[in-house]
Amino acid sequence: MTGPRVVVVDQPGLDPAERVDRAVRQVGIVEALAARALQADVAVGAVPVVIVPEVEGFELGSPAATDPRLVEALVDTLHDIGCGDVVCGFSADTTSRWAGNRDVHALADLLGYRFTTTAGRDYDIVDLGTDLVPADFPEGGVLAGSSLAATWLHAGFRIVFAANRTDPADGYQLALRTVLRALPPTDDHLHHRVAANGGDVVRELLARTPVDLVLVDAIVSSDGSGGSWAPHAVHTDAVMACDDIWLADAVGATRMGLDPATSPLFAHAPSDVGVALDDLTGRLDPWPGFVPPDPIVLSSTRARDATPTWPRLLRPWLQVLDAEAFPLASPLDDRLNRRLAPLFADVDRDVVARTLLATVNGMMATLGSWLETYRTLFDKDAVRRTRLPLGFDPDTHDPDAVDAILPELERLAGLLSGAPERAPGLRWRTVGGATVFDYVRVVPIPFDELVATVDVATTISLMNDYVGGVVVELAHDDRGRPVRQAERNRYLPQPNWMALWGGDPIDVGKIEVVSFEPDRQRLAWKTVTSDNGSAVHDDGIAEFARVRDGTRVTILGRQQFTLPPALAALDLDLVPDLRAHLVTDAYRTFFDRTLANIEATAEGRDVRIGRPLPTVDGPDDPLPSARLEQALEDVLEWFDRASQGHAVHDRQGGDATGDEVDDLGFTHVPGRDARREPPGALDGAAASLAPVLAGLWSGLAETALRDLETLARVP
Amino acid sequence: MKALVTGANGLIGSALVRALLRAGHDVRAFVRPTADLATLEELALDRQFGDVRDRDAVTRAAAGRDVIFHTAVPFRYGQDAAGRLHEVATVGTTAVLEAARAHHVQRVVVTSSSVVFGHATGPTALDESAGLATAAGQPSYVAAKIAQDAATLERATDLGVDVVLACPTVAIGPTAGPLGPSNAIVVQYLADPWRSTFRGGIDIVAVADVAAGHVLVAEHGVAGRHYLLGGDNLAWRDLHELVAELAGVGPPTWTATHTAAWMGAAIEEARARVDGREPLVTREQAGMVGRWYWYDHDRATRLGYRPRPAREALAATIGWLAASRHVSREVRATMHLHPDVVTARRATARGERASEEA
Repeated sequence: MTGPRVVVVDQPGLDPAERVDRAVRQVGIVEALAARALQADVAVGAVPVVIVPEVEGFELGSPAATDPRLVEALVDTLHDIGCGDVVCGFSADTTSRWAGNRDVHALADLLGYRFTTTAGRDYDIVDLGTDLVPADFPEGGVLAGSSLAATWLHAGFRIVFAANRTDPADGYQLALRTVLRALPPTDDHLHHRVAANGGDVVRELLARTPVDLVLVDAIVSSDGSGGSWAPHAVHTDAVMACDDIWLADAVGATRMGLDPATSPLFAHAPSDVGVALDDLTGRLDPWPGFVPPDPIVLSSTRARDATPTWPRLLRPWLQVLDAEAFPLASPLDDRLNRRLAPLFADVDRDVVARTLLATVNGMMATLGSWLETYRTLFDKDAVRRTRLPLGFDPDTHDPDAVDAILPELERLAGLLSGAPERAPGLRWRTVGGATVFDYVRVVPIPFDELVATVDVATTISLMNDYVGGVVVELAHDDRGRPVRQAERNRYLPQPNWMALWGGDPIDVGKIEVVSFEPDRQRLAWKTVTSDNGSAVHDDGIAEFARVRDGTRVTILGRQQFTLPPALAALDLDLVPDLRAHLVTDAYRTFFDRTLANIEATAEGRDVRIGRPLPTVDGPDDPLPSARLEQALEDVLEWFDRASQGHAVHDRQGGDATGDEVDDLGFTHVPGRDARREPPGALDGAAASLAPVLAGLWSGLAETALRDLETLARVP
Repeated sequence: MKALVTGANGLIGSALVRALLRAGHDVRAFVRPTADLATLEELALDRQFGDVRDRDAVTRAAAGRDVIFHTAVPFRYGQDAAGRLHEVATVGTTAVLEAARAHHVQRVVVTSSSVVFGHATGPTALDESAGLATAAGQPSYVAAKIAQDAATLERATDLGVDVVLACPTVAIGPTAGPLGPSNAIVVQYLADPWRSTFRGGIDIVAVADVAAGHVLVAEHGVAGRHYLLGGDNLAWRDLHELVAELAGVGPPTWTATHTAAWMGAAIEEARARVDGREPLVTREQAGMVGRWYWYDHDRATRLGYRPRPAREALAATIGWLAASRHVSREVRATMHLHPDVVTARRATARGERASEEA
């Protein structure tokens, strides 16, 4: 194959297996395999071929999954053209552990894989979550340190066989989604969509293990707003083949009537994908009768899913499935699924269900947004940490240019000449729309002690509200200390109340220089990227210097952050005193806390905010519904206990200390008639609460009285 | 001397063990089998396990001892533990006195509390001459300590045991054990976003000085007497200002009324119950706000008792707390330690090393 090539075989009257055969042959698989064999200096028959099909099906014949008959037809074609080593494989996705039989072999069996093709050839289904080997993903990426199955990593020819389907959150899910099934059996949703950006994961996986051929099963597609949650079959009678995975998704999305960029997985597609599409066999017009996802459902689902717990909680309740093949693990899920899944099975044709779904999605999105804002403001340890890739190529920055940022940033100090001290140790001035500032404080820790425990090269991670990032060393000195590095970091919105205005986290990529001198250590950084556009400038120098009373910490910088639209519209420049107050308060708070973090790090404390990733909905954690169930059980148990307590209280004639004992030592118990029937749970709870509430009121009254007495004594 | 220390893993008990070891004494620790022994790690001492209410266990532990330091009474405020507090205080003390008699122990030092002498309604310091307060209407801990003192004096006379009572005020300082109500006073202010202070005042003392005071009264105290072991008498506002200065946080901004303090404590108790932890403050403690728990330790001074200033005690405590699990990451991020705190932290570390070496 010489360039991007797309073949759509949709001529009427062809057998599906024939369409597969024709598609792969027309796209040039014979030539591609021959070239690969030549490259490896082996025969075509010795090139190991791996096929990853889409398996997001919850019933036999689901249009959300690749039809096993087509996969088997592909196996036959591959053998026909000389391949001798062909396997199918995918990883189990532990996100779906709320349903049974989702392990690789049970799932393959229940979806209809027969392990023998129509032509009688045997093939294996390989679990790509086993036989893992280090994959050497580049440092600084979200997959750094991850492993891959040897089968996939060492494959001579990789094929992704996607199903042609929509998705209620991504818009569509084609080959870029299916290729994620080559990653080991982790919680796919958690690790590849929540903890890291799905687009970053796809990019890094494809960079390390490129896909040679993509097929899309569009014989029976899944259209509408249900996606794989509630698949709706539509006959499109086509098979698409493409030798470029990005182009495959672009063409597939176009034929669904969608912008390819709708899917976040497409975020890092080459900018020219589809532009030079001069080798197309077939059509690009939308599939006849194909209904794309409803835009309101799509938008509200995406907003809802920004809070990862919601889709994890809802999926078992709304998934249309064959409950005998894939029984739900939790009785609660099972009960709710039976009631709810049919209600939302066809939202595109049921306006009431669609309106209800969009409304509930919107409410959940709002609640999730409030929760996130609350965490930003008041519960930072509950903020979810994320994995970030570096996001830029540090090698594009010439080492001399990197070294030059230190003298360049030192000159910022001159801009502060004569600037007033706005708060202890803090000066700032607005220059060219950016805030130039310095902040100086002496911490009472001797220089040598401080630098032994606080690595100046990690200063960025000690800044207030640092919630994640990555550092890549570019060069080091003869003692192994980094002297040039690239870093990407994310902070909570600054100041935190920006979250109330819809402010984004500060997300910046930087190049950095570190210098070590006997009495001074410095880190200088300069922003080169900001993926979310949150910063124009975030440049500075952090310095630890030896002084008589300890260590002087100086932070000199220039920052210009993007205001949320609602705040920008207010134009605070029109109220300079208020603006000055807000800026001073923001910087004072930020650097006071940063200095406290430096001190605390010297004390050996972990100053990072946020929840560590592995503890968030990990594969071994209880299912969301199980947690919900546990919470409900706790409440019921509390009522139950309260009820029993009340019963005991009653049986003891109202004397909690026990039965009465007379002077002779005889115990007198209340007569049978005096014993009342145990009350209901609510009665018991109310009875238990009564003395608590009475105690609260009497305590409150007593203290109020004391306050009145105190007031009365005041002359 | 050969000493037995009951409750040796507690705040005062563990400080006492260290003081005795540093002074070269032979120490045996008596702790519950379920006790957290983190405070006694790395220390070279004999450990015996049992409940202080178990007369036989205490008697076995007392064998061959010259002095028993009886510190084992839980220090906590809250009605939920009232019965147990009273039982440990009275039954436990009786068991200790009987064990002392059985083994002819020369002296028993019972750790009482300054609160047994009650409180003043104005900024006046009480001393031992005030006599035991009445238990009625007192928080359960105070009532338990008053009952303990009464039982101690009565049973010691009956049994002919030489006993002195050490009455520490609010003892603060580093510990590897639970935070305890006295250190919680500091944490509560650090964690208070409103920076509240109160009317009234307390006497605050370094736990290391309380430990040294115990050794002093053991060696030089007069049998049957109480000895107040205090430090500096401070109004709550002065105390909170000192904490603010040393920890580098904001000074007090308002004086909470009784009602506000009580409601704040109720909320804290509810939060602690939900979180499954000990509350930093309880409604019982809030009920003590506005009173003056000031004491004069002149009697102990005459024995050579020289407590450090409250500022030093607080500096050491804050230095430890800042790096401990008792101060949350979020609260730590608001603190900027005074140089005195860093200096005190180093001194504490040196002291720890000395104890371990001893």
